[in-house]
Amino acid sequence: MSLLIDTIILIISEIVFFIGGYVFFVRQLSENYGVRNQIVILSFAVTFALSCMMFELIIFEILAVLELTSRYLHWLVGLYSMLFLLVFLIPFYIAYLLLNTIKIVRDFRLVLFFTLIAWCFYLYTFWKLGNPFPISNRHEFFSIEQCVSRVGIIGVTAMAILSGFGAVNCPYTYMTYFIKAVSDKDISDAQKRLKQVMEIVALKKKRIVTIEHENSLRAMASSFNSNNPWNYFRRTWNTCLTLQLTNQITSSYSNISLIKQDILTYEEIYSQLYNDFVDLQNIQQRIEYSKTFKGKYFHVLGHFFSLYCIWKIFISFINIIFNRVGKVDPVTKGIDLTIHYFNFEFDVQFYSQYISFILIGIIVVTSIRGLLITLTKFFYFISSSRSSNVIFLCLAQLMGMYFISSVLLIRMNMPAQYRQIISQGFGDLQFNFYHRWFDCIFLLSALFSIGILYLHYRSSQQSISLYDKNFEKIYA
Amino acid sequence: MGTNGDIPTLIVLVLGDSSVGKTSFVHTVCHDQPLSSPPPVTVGCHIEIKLYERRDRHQNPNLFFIEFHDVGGSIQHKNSRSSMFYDEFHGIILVSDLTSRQSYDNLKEWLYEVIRYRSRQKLPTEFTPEVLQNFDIPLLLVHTKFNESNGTSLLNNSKSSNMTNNHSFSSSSLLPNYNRKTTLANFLNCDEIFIDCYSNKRFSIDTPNVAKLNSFFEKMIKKASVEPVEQLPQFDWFASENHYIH
Repeated sequence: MSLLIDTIILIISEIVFFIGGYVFFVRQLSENYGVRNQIVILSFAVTFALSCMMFELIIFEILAVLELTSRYLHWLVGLYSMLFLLVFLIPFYIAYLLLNTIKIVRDFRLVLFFTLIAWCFYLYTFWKLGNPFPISNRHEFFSIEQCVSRVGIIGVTAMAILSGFGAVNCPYTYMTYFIKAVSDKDISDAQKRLKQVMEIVALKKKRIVTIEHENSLRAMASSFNSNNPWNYFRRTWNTCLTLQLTNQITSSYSNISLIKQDILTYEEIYSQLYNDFVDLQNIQQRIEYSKTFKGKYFHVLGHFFSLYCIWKIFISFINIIFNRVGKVDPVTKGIDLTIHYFNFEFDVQFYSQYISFILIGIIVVTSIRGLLITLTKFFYFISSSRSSNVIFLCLAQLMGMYFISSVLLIRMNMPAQYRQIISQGFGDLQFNFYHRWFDCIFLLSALFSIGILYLHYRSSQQSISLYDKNFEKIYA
Repeated sequence: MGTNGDIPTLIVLVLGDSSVGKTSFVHTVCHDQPLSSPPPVTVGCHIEIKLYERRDRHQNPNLFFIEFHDVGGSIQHKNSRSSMFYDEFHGIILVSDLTSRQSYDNLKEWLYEVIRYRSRQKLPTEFTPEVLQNFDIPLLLVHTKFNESNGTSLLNNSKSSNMTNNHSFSSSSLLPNYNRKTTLANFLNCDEIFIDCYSNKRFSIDTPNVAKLNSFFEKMIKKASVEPVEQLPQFDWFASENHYIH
């Protein structure tokens, strides 16, 4: 009986999450790109709903809300269906869509056949992917641990890359507009520069068009003259004329190619300058936004968040060097510290439950929100109207793997008595390995993004100096 | 009009959603042959020049530079577009994609963006027909990718909507297809061109489209010039590439 009630509660929350995912997808992502394929939208929303259900079950575990057995049962059901989606259904549909757009074969059954072949190939690589890693102690095939372990590897890698990039990008953007104040004069200067480059390009193109026009006029004039074949003197005079004409035409062609090369240089300078101009305007808008009340709040939050990012990079560095993998979660550690140093007496059990609930809740909500925002930005960056279906499915797959691996890693942050559901549900995995792997990839990705940001900064400086150099050449 | 030496310049803004084919269209018009492959996404503004020749009453050729400002349509650059490109122009070409209904619906928004910037007042964010009353800049609608779609799907909706339109065609009209207009063209009272920018036909022999483009240029010249230009008789069925006035 209680099982039935629990099931009903969970199904209601499932439906709420499903509707939330559906609405998010339709409003944010596909507003301008017109995705009509219902299967894509459905798989995205179902993946989102299942991930949220897993997080919800963790929170219920901490709060001890539902029956133990029913929680465990729903956990297994959610996990199996999620794995089915991620490993079987979505890759199959991706392969099908890709083969459809390539349009090699028209016949529907042949396309399905090729899709099956591609999908078996994908399963094979998926399998082989997990072999070099020391993941699990069992050596059976086709067990849940094998699937989860491999999905976990991919998800943890994705998570670490995204976190690394975010951890570097966040302090950098905050620093640039802490330090650099963009005034109206900067923006109008940038505008003037852009307009000048545009005028130069327009001038050169007009020159080319004029030269071509004159050439065609001369060619027409010369064709009139060469229709008198019987006058020898006139013929030699005409040959001289045509020789002169060809010389003029060839010299003007080399002029034209020189001018065209110049135009290419200027167009490159122009696009770089334009990107900088867009950045400047964004910074100015953000400064204006920060003067409002909500903006001030985010401004202060930004300080703390930047400090947190820097601390995180530092800690992962220390972890790798000193080969340290924590066994105790931060909540229990914090409580121990307060008991030792401040000599407070309070009920450890009671408070640890609520504190860890709050902590896990915050982590869950921020990671979902952060992932959705990153997905949206990433999608706008790489989208094109042709292949948006495939991109959406890849995003759904990435999201599913990300959420499974964040459940894996969240186990670290929970006190030991609440870890049971994850350990039992996922089977026998080497969780410590995942944390080590996350630290490695996180550090690598942070270093890589530092390098990229530095190159970006250098190139924008270079384009301004290039502009100045060329500008003086014109007017010198 | 700006002058370069002694040839005056007219500026045309080419607006439309991202990837509808603005750059391809401008290239086809200026160079008379299609691009070899679809160009990359336009960042900022791409400029192309066309030399337009018209002959006045004494058979003296009158040359004009038509400068096409092909503005990139991506959404991230929405805020920076206005102050950069909408300051000076003599005509607007609105481009939409026949395979995407969304791009046709967004044309009004593009026009409205320009009007809002130019009028410098606080206009409401919804598009209303009254704002067009003071707007008399020549317009032209271009619908690209004509071959990939069943091109007349937009025309079938010309019965709908609550906009005032002055067409008397019903769906059972016996007039040939190219005289029917979409709702937006009737609403804005302007011409429109259906074109496939990658076909192998040269643009200059595509006579009906060339005639519409030339009448658009004439409208711009008439509006922009200081001294009054004599009225050119608009004979659609006598169209040729250059207008000869006797």
